[in-house]
Amino acid sequence: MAKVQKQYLTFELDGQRFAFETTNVKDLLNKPNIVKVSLADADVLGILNLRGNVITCLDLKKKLNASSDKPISMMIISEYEEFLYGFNIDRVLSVVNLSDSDIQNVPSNLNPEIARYATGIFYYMDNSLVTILSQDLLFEQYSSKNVANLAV
Amino acid sequence: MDEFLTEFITETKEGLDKIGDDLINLESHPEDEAIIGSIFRILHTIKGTCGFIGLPKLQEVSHKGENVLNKIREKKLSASKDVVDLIFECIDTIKSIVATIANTSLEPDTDYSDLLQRLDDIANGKVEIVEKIEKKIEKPKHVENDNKPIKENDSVRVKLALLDKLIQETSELVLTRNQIIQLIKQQKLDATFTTPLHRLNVITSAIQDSVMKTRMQPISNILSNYTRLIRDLARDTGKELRLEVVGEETELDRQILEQIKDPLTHMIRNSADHGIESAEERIALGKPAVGTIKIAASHQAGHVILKISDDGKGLNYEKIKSKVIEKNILSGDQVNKLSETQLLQYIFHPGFSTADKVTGVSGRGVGMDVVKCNVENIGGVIELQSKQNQGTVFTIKIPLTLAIMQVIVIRVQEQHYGFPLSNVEEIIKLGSLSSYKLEELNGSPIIRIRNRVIPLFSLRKAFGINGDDGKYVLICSASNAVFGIITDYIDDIEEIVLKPVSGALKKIDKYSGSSVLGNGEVILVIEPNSFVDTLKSFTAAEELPTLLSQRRHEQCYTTNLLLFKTEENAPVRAVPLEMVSRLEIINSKDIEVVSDQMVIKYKDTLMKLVKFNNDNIPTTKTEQDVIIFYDGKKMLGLLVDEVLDIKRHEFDKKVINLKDERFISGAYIEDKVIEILDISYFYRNAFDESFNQGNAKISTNSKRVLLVDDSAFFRKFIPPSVATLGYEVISVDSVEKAIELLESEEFLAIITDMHMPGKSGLDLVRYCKSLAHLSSLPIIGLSSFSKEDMVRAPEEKNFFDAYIPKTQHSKLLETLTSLVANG
Repeated sequence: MAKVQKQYLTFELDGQRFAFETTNVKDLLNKPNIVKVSLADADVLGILNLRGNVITCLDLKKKLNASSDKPISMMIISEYEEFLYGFNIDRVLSVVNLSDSDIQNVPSNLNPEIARYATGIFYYMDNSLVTILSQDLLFEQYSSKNVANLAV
Repeated sequence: MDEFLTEFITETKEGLDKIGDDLINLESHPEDEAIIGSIFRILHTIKGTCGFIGLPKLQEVSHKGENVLNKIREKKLSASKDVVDLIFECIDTIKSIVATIANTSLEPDTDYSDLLQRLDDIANGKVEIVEKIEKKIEKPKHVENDNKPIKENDSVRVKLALLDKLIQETSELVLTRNQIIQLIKQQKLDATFTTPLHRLNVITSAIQDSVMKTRMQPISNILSNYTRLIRDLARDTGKELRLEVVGEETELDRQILEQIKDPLTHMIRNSADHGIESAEERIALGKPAVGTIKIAASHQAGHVILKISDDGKGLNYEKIKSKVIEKNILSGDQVNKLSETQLLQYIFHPGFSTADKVTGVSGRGVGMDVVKCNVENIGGVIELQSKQNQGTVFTIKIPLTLAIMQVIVIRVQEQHYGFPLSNVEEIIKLGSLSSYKLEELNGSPIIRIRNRVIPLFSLRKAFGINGDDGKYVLICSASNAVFGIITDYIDDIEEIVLKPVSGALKKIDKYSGSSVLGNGEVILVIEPNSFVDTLKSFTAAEELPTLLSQRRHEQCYTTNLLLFKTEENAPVRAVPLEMVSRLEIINSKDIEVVSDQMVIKYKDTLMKLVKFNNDNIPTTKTEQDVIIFYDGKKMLGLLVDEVLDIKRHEFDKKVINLKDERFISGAYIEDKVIEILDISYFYRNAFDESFNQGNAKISTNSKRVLLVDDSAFFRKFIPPSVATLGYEVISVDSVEKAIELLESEEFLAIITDMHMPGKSGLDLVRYCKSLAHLSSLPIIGLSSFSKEDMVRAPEEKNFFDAYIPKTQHSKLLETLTSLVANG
């Protein structure tokens, strides 16, 4: 019986390790050139141009309450509701294939700011802990279905 | 849903629309075989396909309809109004069945036996045919159609989504092409590159044109609905209505057409219901009994203009006023201060309706704000005008191309933004040298342009960026409001593809979207309408007119002054720029002294030169600045040490009178008193004559002009120029004194100020006109407005033979000359 496997992109952020499902990850961007957007929320870093597409850059570090004083060196570009977004991270590790059995429940002592987006954990090849984050949960507040997003 | 069924529904809908058109035409040409044939064929096709798919009810209805048409075709039945009405009912029924099928894939449960029976009755001649059409058979206009092949075969169906993608990609292609063209210009490429690149350019333009056309449809496609609508409205309201359509071949993007359908319908309904009066009322007013609702479509500079107008009774301003008060939008006082145009805007307020009755036709006033919303959603604007008893006009302006738009690229704090070019009326630079200054009204920054007060918004403040505002202002219009946006710099105009901002930024109303410039830079595009709401709170509309008129009476005389230094260590002095003919730099070696007078050869004549301190010693400098004056006959050069600047200066009534006759007066410029030279003094000295030509004695000189102005400054300022024409100018400081003088002295003309303590310039005019010997005396009124304001000068101006700004010397002289000549 073949085990259903999914791909996860693992990355490092402020010394901790996280992973995204690769389904809607489109690109990785090195040393992004971000243009600030006045009047935007605090967790919006700004916008940038990637091959003609305008990417909205979000401060993942801020969302996870990690320290974000280091300059932004790398971004994961994902698609959500037909828009492209970027998340700032420190470095990318690798793509791993995991089946459901490889993933364990989120431990209860996990930092609440991280826990609200976490869907599970697994152990990386060097036995370090990786927390799987749900992009859907991260993006939820920007959904077009969210009426609060519409300009009044 | 079954794809075949979907196809059927689409085709049937199209067919039904066509039948609708045909039926309207049939009414006016009841014997036209081509029309009858067309209706029959469509019903026949619908019936046939129904049988094939298995839609029994629909089949039955269309079958019965087909029968009736068949009888008409066989000339056994005539297409009277009743018959046509019944067929319309049949069509509507088919439409509703199809709609149900579209939603549920099933036919509705409704019982149609009544309709079916009536259709049968008519077909079988069981109903008395009330009208026999006795019209003369005109040669039907549709006969030509018989020879034309049916158009359906030369087109294909393409999914809209695919067309959209094609447009999007073509737009990107166009922009990339633009970038390449830029690069070609900047770099010297040899012919192996440039030739194919130019070819690429041409092809890209061609592709762009064609792709845009794929989505364009003539507006006549939706207009056909309206003929039917008018017919129904006429019937429902009992009024006589006609629809006039102009420019139905005007093409619009399909998506826009879809969006505009409902707003147009609503406006037509409004016109029919509330605008057009009943036939009796119209006749009583001297209008034709039939009311006209007109739709005019045209292209204009990248936009489509739609005008929906009626010749009805127009909007009732009083009713609007009371509704505005009733709905607590404004108070009674505030409302009364609004102009008619401002009042009309409240129509677009949500929930607004001045309709006394809620009729089934146009319903309650939920409409106009939705109409405005719909129009603005497609990037358009809507305006309206109305005249009591004459009618109302709505004008909708929609951009043609959705995809590419032109923006002005502006800079705020080193960051670029885009501002839609279509919203920009003018660009102004603020500053001491410019004609436009930043002023304040009620604590908010404004600028005055051609007598209009325009509120300003600082982009810096709007974006929360610290620092001083820049000097450039975009004067924009959006939603019928005019305002200015202050920015640091204006860079360029670029064509961009506007992309919507993501969900994270959508809530910021200042941005309408984002884009990538040709150089790869990403910019946000500003939404002009986002400033309009702030406008409402900025200055309640009613205060503006009052404040504006207050300002007018504060009398600003402005003129440009040339600032210079007569000697190296002298204070800065000035001369009105208007009097200056030229500025030159001469070689002091060329100056000669003849009989104690400095002269120089200048343009074939010998020009006298003077210095402020009246000595005849030319300067030691090799290059000498000269200010040259010309009184119409003689030139005089004033040697100065250095010409400094030109400053626009506002003179208020309080001027500093200086005893030194070399000066007209002093003026406060930047906290220093600057002496303004009286050129006539220097002319007198140089030519032993006054700046005036002719004799100095008052009583014998027949060329006399009377100047009436309570301002000492202008009594000194104006005469010198008038004197250059050879007149002698007698100045008095009040109308009362002028009247005294007029009793004993004769003048060729009067030049008078308007507003004075005591009697006004208008009073003087009235006085003169009332006396036979003075009634033909030319009177020139002097206005304190700038020349741009002349168009909107008050009514008073019509009493004068001429009305000129005070500081416009040349105009004054011109006018005086012609008035006296025509005497």
